[in-house]
Amino acid sequence: MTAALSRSSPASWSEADLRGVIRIQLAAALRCAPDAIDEATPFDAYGLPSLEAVELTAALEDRLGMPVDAKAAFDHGGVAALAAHLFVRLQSEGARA
Amino acid sequence: MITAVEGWAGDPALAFELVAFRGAGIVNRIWSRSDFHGAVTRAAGAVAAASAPGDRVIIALPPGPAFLAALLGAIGAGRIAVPAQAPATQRARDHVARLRTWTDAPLVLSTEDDIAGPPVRLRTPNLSATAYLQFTSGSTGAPRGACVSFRALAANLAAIGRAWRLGPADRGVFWLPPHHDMGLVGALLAPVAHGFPATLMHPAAFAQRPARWLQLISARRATFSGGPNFAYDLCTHRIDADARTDLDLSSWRVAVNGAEPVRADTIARFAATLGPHGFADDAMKPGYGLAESVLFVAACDADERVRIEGGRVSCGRAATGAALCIVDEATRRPLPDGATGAIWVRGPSLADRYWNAPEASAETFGARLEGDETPWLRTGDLGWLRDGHVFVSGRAKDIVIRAGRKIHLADTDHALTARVGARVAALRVEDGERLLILHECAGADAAARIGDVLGATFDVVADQIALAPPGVLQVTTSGKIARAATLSAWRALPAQAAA
Repeated sequence: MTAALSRSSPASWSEADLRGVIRIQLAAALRCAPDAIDEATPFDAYGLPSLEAVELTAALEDRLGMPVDAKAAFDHGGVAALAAHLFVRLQSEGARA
Repeated sequence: MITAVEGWAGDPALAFELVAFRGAGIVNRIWSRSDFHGAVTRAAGAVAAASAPGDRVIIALPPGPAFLAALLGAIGAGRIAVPAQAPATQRARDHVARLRTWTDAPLVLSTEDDIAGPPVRLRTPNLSATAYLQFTSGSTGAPRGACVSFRALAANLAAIGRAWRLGPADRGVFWLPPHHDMGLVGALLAPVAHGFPATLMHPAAFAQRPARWLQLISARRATFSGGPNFAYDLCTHRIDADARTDLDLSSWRVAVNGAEPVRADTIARFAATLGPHGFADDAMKPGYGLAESVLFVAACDADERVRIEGGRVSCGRAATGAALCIVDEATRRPLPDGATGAIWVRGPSLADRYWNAPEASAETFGARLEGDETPWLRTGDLGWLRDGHVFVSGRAKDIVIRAGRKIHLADTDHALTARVGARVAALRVEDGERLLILHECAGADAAARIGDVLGATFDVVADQIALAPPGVLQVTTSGKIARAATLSAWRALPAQAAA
C-alpha cells in the first residue's frame, strides 16, 4: 500500500488511503507497529504526547501538500475522525485547484 | 509590574503582537500599551465581581497577551493567580480540575469573555503578599505550587534585566507556554517590566514548524528570545535549507537556553547551522533556574561567551544579590571549587514556600549548612562551581525533564503500577536524559498500556519499555522502587551487558 501511495498524488487518495497514512505516522510517533493502532481509538487514549501530536500534523502537511492545523490531532481525535476531516479538505482543495 | 501597567493608559506604543499562521501567511493581532492596560483593568473588574480578596484564581486562557492580562487583572484585584494550561485537551482539563481542587479556587478564567468585566483601578500590591502560585509538577502526587511574592518577582525581573541589559530598544519573540515559569516570567513579564514589545506565537505553531520561530525573529529584528535546549535541537533537526534561506538572525543578541539541561553539542550544531544566517557566536546564553526561584538563578550574561568544562556548559554566574553554594548533603558542608555536589541557592527572589505542603516546603526551602541558621533553597540539581560559574551536571532528585517540564519518577511508578496491575519502575539513564521503564507484567499489551498512561498522564514517551525478569525490580521496605539497585540489577543482565 505504501509504495503505491508514495507514487500517487494525495488528491487521488481515498479516505481509507488517508487512514493508512495517518496510522503509519502515528505508529512512528508512538514507536509501535502500525497494526497495533485501532482507527476508532482517540489519540488521547493512545497517550500521544502534545509535542508528538503536533509533529504528526506537520508530517501530514508534508505528505498531503496542504496546511493541516497544528491542533487537528486534538480537535479530531482518532485516526478515522482525522482521516474523514482531511479527506473533505483534500476534496475541496482538489476542486479549487 | 502593576505600576508599570497603570502607566500605560492612553499610550499607543506597541506592547504585544500575537501571530497566528494560516497556510503560508500570517494573521496578527496588535495590542498597544493602552489596549493592554484596558484588558488588565477589565480583567480585574471581572475577577472582583466573581471572587473575594485573597481567593485563588486559575488563569487558563490560551497562550497570548490575554493570558497575561487575566493574570495581572487577578493580581491587581488582590487575588492570588494560578497559571494553568488552557483546557483544550482531556489532559489539560484534568490538570485544571486538579489545580482547582488543590488551591480551593472559586474561579477559573479560560476565555477572553471571562475577563471582559467593567474596568476597575488596580490595587498597589503589598510586597510580601503572594502574587501567584507557580506549579511545577505533580501529575499524580501532591502538586507543588511555589508561592511567589511580589518582592521575589520584582527582584527576579530586575536580575533578568541586569544580566542581559534589557530595555526599551529590545524586541522579544516567544512561543513558550505561559503557564510555565519561563513563558510567564521570561516571555510575558520581562517585556512589560523592561518596557519593550514582544511578538508571541502559539507553542503548537512552533512545534509544527520550528522555522516559524526563527522567521519571526528575523522579520521582527528580535533581540531577545529563547527556549529550552530541545527547541534549539528542533531547529537544526527539522528546518531544511530552503526554510533557512532568507533568515537574518543578526539582531538576536540574547538567545536564552534554559529550563532543561543545556547541551554542548546542541549549541555547537545550532551555531554551525545558523551562523551563516547571522546568528552571532556570542548570542547563545545558557541559563539555570527553577520556579522555586521565580525563574532565574544564574546565566551567561550579556558580555560573556559560553564556557565548557568536563563536557558541561556553564550557566554563568549567580544573579546580583543571589548566592550559589555547592554542598555535600551528607555533611551539609560547602564543597571547594570544581567539586560536584548539590546546588543550593539563596537570595531575594526565592519563593516563600509551596502551597499547602509544609513538609515539602521545609525540605526544599529550609536547607541549612552545618552550624549556620541561614535558610537555603535545595534545588535538587547537582553541579560544580568554577570562578563563580555554575556547571549543572545532573539531578539529585529522581526527576526526568522533557520539553522543559519536570516529571517526578515516584509519580510515574505510582501511576503505572496502579494502572498496569504489576510492578513498574521508571528509571533515568544516561545522565537523566533518557527514560527507561521496566515492568513485571507478562501481558502482551503491557508495553502499549504503559505507553498510554505515560502519554495521557505525563505527556511523555519513554525511550525504552522493557519486561524485567523476576528479581530485577527491587523495592525498599516501604514498598517504593529502589531505583539505583534496580538499575544495577538490570544492567547486570547478560542481554544488557552485551547491548
